[in-house]
Amino acid sequence: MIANNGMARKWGPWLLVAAAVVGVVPAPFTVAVGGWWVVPNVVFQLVVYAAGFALLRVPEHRWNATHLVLAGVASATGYLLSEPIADIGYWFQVGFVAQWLVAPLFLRVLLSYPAPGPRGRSATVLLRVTWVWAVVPWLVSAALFSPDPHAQAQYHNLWMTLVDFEPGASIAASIGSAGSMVVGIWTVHVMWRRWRLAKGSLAPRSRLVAAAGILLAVGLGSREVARVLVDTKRIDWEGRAWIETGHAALAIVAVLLTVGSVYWSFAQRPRVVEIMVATAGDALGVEAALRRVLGDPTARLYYDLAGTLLDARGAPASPASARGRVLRVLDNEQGQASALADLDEVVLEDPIQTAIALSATQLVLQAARLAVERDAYAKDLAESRKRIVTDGVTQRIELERALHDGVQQHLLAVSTTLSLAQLAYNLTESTDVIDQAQSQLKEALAELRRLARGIHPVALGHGGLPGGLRAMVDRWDDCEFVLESTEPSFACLDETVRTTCYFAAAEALSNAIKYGSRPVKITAACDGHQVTVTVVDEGAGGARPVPGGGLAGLRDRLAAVGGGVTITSPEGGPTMIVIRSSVHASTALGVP
Amino acid sequence: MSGLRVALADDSGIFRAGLAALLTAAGVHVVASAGDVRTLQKQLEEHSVDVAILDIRMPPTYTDEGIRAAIALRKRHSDLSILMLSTYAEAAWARELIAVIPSSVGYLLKDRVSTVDRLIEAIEEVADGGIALDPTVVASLMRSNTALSRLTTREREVLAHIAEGRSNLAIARQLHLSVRTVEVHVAAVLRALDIHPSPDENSRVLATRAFLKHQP
Repeated sequence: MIANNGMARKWGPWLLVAAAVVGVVPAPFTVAVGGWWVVPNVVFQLVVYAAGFALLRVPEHRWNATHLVLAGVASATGYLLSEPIADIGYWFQVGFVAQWLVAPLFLRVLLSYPAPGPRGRSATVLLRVTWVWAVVPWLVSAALFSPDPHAQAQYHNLWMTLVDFEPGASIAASIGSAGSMVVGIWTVHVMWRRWRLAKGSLAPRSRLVAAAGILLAVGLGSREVARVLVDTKRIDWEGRAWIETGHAALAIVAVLLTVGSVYWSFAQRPRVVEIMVATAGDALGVEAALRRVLGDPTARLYYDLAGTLLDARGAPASPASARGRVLRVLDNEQGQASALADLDEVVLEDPIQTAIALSATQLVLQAARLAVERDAYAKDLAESRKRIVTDGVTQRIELERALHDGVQQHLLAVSTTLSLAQLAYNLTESTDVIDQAQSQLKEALAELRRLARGIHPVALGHGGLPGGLRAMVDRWDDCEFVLESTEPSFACLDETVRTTCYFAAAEALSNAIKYGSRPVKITAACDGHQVTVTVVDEGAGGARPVPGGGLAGLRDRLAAVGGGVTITSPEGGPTMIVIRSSVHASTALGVP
Repeated sequence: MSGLRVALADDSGIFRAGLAALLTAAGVHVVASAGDVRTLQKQLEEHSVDVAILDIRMPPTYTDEGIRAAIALRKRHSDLSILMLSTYAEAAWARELIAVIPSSVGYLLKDRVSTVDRLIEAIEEVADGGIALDPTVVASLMRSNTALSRLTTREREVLAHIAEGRSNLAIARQLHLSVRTVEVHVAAVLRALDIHPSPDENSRVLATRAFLKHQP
């Protein structure tokens, strides 16, 4: 009917308005025609509608809200049809049956609140029994009862008696009456148990609702007691009317208590988030706040740190599920477990409050962790940026020195030699000198080539990464190159990625050669998404990236294109350096 | 030729060897040759040397070891002439050098080995107590020196040649002028730079120093 929350949101308020109009508007006329007993009934309806309206705003409580509204409607139907217009055919029976429906509808709310539905076996069974009691005997009774159009006047207020109706109807009505007593006592029992067991932050609210339930049950029972008293002529009709009025008054108080409980929980909700947020993610603070908002002093939080659970004080812990406890996993934004809440089962009494508190906990922990991670990441990034710039500057200095010490000196030597030719005494001598200049020039060119290769190897340009690596390996003895994918599969590499991987491999190779760790094997593979270059040497191992060293710089440069480097170098070797990158330079946040 | 005794200091072996061969062929005695400053200092203790030819950038820091070594050498051997031979023509280095070693000093680009006459000329000039700066250095000093705007184009040319360490005769030959005309220009330059020739001091050295000092 109104199970769908969207529908309830749309139709709920209108249903309330319609119910109020139908139930409340005729009341003054009823008072004029009938009697003042209508007034408590109308007040009961108004209070029920108000509570229903309040609960409609809580998505989880829409079903309870609907029950409250229907209880109001049933109550209105009962008084409208059973008294003033009872003379009109069978409407009297409809009203007669409807008035009992108030009990299970309202009981459902009392048994469940503050949870969205009844919890526990005894509550469920009691509710079912109440529904059977509220429908079956009275329906049978109404069906067997045939109003005599000539004796209408007598029917007023007489339908409850055992003597004035056909035997079947009377027996059914009697069974219903006895049922009222059973349901009433049972309800008192359930509610009293609830009163006693209430603990934690929920205790006041649970007790309010339990008190409301007890009051309703007492009211129901008092009706039946009054009927017996009237039958045995112990009290007169007027006395019974007073008891009826008292019953209605008790019902009103019950509803008011329920409304009070609803208000209480509403007032609590924003505080829950406020209290959690105020902790700013401090481990002990969050745990203390959770205990406070859940009213559960035994609540504990365990933090998942890379698969190890630590308690709020940072000591390793291994919480196990125990009787009377509930464990709830709090996920981080990636859906991985970040914390574990170990709570008293009593928090399940108010699943909404618990859900809000745990969500707030989750949020606060996430925010705190993100802040820590962000700061660490920013620091890493700033350092890596500085290292890359420093690297660039160092490379410029090295390049200038290489030009100055190498090519320039060679060319100056050529120039000097040619000057000697000017001073030569004869042709033979000058030819010798020119030959010497020629060979010096060759050396200068070789030097220039070596330097250019260091800046950007031409093999990398036309042979791609495999070509570049092969050319690099060819320059050294005891170095082997293995291509694990086809050469064309490397074609998709960005130039940046290609060059970065090449120089990372060159760094790794020169490192291996520097420490005399030959033979060295370089392996390259590309699957169209990721490129991997592995450099394995047979050295003594123990290679560690030191700040400012080649291996550390390698890590920064790979991180800058969204890739990474893994260095495995146990003492005794071998050293394995794995260079990985996506085929396209990525700006994804990679930590250097 | 001149019979001058020189010592070389340059960290590049091939250049040192080439230069030694060239100087020897040109009639200069290369009595010492070192790859770093310390070795040169030791050799100077053992040999009598007229001119020390030093590279500026040398180990260990590859910045201005040569200049600092030159200053130290001049302190130890007051009659030692210094010729800096560098790959770089830095006006700042020239200024720094002349500021602490006011005479018998030169600063040439290594490129000058291609014109052996010019190289020998510069060596002789510094050995003779004069100053010899590389044309590239002089040109860059000229460009940045606003005080020289008083001079005529011809006078500036003459000043540049003086700074490069040329004699009046050499300047006359270079500019296709008579020696007499050059002498007139030199006198005008000295006047413009407010230099009054005295018998004790080399007025040409003073002119070069004044020229360097007028830097902004």
